[in-house]
Amino acid sequence: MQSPAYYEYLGRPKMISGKRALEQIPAELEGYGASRPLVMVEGATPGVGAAITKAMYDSNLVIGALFDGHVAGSTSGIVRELAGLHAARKCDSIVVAGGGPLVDAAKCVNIELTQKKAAIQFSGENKIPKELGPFVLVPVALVSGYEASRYAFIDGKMCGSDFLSPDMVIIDSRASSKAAPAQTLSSGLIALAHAIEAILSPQANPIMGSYAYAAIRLLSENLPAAVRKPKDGKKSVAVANGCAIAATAFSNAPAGVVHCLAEALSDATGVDPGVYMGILVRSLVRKRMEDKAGLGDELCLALSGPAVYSVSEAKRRPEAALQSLNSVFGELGNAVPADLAATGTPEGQLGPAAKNAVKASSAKLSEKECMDLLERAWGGK
Amino acid sequence: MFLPDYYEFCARVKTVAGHRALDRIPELLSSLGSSRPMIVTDRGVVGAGLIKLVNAAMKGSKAKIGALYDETPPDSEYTVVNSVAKLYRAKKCDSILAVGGGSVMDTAKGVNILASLGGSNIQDYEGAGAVRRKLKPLIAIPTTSGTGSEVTLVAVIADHKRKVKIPFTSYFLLPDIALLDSRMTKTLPPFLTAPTAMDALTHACEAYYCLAKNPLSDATAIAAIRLISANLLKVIKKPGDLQGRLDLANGAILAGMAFSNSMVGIVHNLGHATGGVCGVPHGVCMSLFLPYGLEYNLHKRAGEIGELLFPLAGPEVYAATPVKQRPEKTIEYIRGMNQDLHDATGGRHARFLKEIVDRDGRQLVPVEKLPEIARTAQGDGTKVYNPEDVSYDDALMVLEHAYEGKPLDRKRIKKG
Amino acid sequence: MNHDSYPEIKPGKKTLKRIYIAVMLLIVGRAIQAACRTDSTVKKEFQNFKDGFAFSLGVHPFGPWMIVGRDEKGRAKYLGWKPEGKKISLKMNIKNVEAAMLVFTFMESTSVAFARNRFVVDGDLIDALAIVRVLDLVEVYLLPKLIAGLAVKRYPKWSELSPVKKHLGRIVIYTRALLGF
Repeated sequence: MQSPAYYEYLGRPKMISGKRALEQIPAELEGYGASRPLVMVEGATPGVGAAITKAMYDSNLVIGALFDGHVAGSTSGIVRELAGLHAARKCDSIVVAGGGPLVDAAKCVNIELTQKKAAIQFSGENKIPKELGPFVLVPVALVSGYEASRYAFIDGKMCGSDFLSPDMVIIDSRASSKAAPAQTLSSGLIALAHAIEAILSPQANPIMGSYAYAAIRLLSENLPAAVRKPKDGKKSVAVANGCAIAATAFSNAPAGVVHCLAEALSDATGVDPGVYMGILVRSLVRKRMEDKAGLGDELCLALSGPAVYSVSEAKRRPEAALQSLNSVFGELGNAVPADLAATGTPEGQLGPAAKNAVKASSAKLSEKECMDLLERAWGGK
Repeated sequence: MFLPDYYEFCARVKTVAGHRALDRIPELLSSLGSSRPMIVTDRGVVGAGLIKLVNAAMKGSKAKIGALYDETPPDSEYTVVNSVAKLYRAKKCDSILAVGGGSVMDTAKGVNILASLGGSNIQDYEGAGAVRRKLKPLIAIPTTSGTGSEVTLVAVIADHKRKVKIPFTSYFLLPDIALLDSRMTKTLPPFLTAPTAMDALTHACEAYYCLAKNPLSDATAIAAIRLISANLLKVIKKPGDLQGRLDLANGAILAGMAFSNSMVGIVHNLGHATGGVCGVPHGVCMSLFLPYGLEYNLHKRAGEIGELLFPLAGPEVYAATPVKQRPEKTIEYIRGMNQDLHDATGGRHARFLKEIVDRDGRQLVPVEKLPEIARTAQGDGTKVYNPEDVSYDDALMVLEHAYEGKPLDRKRIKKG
Repeated sequence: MNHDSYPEIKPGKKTLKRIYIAVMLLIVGRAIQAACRTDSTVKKEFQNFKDGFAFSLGVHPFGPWMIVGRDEKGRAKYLGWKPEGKKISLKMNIKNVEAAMLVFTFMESTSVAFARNRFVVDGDLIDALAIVRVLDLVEVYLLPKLIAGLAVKRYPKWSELSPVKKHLGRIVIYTRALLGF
């Protein structure tokens, strides 16, 4: 392990995970001088709102409003309405339990309330000038991979700011075990891809490496079992931990080739981006093994774990790492197709997806490397 | 990866690290909305020419240094905090650059409480939950790779009159930015580099076996140990090795993240007490007690202690050592490190208590002080987080072994 | 958006759990007082406190609590469950009722609960550590070994706590705790 000549890293959210974690919310908010949160839960996931309400018993806190509607997409309209609800009830903080657009909307509500302007005006990088109100994320399934990160979406536009990372991520099986198996799978695959790409990114550094290591180990060891047994509280908590930790690493690394291609493909076909990321990240690992760049010790160690890594000869560590990754996918079985062809994606979509990925990426991706990876993944190579 | 039933982890500090990281100060200050920082530091740092580096980095910046306080004592103290806060206000500063070791960081955090929340006496903010909102910007620039206080949420401030050290804790005491620049530690002499780096290594090792360990404290601890173990002796032998210096600085900050979340146990417990009673520098106590702490907790944490061999000695040694022998090998390895550092510093790195001397060669820890150290240790909070209970008798037993430099007599460890 | 669909909720109370914790606190509080008269270690700890020392142990923010103080002779005295109007030098609050349940059903030992940040301690840390030692000892007296073994890090060996002392002490402490003298 060697330190890069220069790096920056910020792991902003405080992680609180495990037994009776939800009950910590009042004391944590009190630390910020807050006691009237707007609580937002996904109406379609029953039980989470009740669990949070119950966890607030015997505290100084009053739930200013419990929003349990359905948010199909984070739009200026819904954000304005939610901000109105927040203001009418004189709330002073936000607790959001769920994933996807609901969390995007919650973050944008926080922007609007603190900055007193429409959230859409803050789209882009680092446009938010100051700290937002206290924000708690309770993961159900982090299906977009952005929830615990420094990003939020409104009207399809992205806002990136350190202030958009949640202040706290509170992981409790009473919320995380409510995720549907397909959601758990998707969130886990996105997180796994994000963590692997973080280690491989030019921005990699020892702190990011540690976060990515923790995420990859947690996901490799727990994702298959969590998908098989969705009601298993412990496994769901472990996966949620892996996802939230990966999101923090992702906040510090530019979106990589796997991420950009998967999103471009998913936009075109509607197939789950997690499935694409799962297929593409395996191809990326194989491709790196053939490249001069190689996999690097850090990724080998993270994928294999110390036990397997240390017994492999130095030369053979990349192979051992790939085997470890393959066995995770082996355990996941048919849930993740072996190649892009098997996802039903029309081959004609590959070219446009490569072009769109290049356009969307902040890192300098070339169309050639995108096409190369897509073609490999098409044949499951 | 070990996932406990419950854990909390917070390392909300932006790390900015590199060979020329200081050059980023103007930009960082402006991103924090600050234009008149106060520098809090000590004489040693000024004497080493490190403030000159900071000043040079500020050239051409819109921000101007509003005030410089360079008389921070080795133990941060109430009256100092109060008077520095007064200076901060008089000079209309709007942020703090803390340049130094643990005491400078503690002082700066204390000053920031008064500067941000008002009042003239830091004692008014004693007690849980007294600091509940965002403070003024604080950039921590460590000049040793050891304490990790650039990422901890505590400020320990002494009251010499009452003879107590009061910890002020709040997430708002975390600095906004920890800035690591290899130039800041380049001139630290080997006999000081050794104990400070071993301090960091101890943070990481203890974090790995103490009660609040969790996936992120484990991952940061392993990375810290790998960086420190691979670079320490290299840097001792070649102090100008900037890459090695940067690796050590990164190791120290990772170790800080690990231990401030997983907490620390008997090594710190005895170390704090030895420091308090006999005035021994913290880092010296850490490296010396570490093998004893591992031995003491061995019956409860053999697995974890065995796993430490991987980051310490590397994959080859780890693989070649049978699982059952790994814990012992870890302890042996740390003793070996202390011996190597002892040799490399011409005997200045102490391996056991008897060996610790002050500048005039006087023994700092006389044997008759051991009972007082053991008693003091009973009042130190880190005792709670150690896996095995540490009573007065236990503490004294360990101290007696550490005094002579003998491995612990395992039969004397009470196992309940 | 119809705001009425999204109500304000004033959280209720977990009465049963609070009653359970209140009873446990009462027993522990009285047991400390009793143990201070029976066990020399507990006695010594209390003699070391400053004159007028009192501490509360309970649940944030609405209780229940128990308050134990040091009387002028240096003995522990159970001072009831109301902190109001008392000069309390050390406050040890568990952050919420559920965390308190974990502690008082012995699913989490005092040390583990500390390590997990379940406690908020307001006051001198040295005193707090002495109280943790007292609580550990009282638990050894009050509970069967199987359960006390979960609550403390190291169950005392016979050599440290003779069976006569433990069982006799246990009977005396139980009687005094229940009868309240």
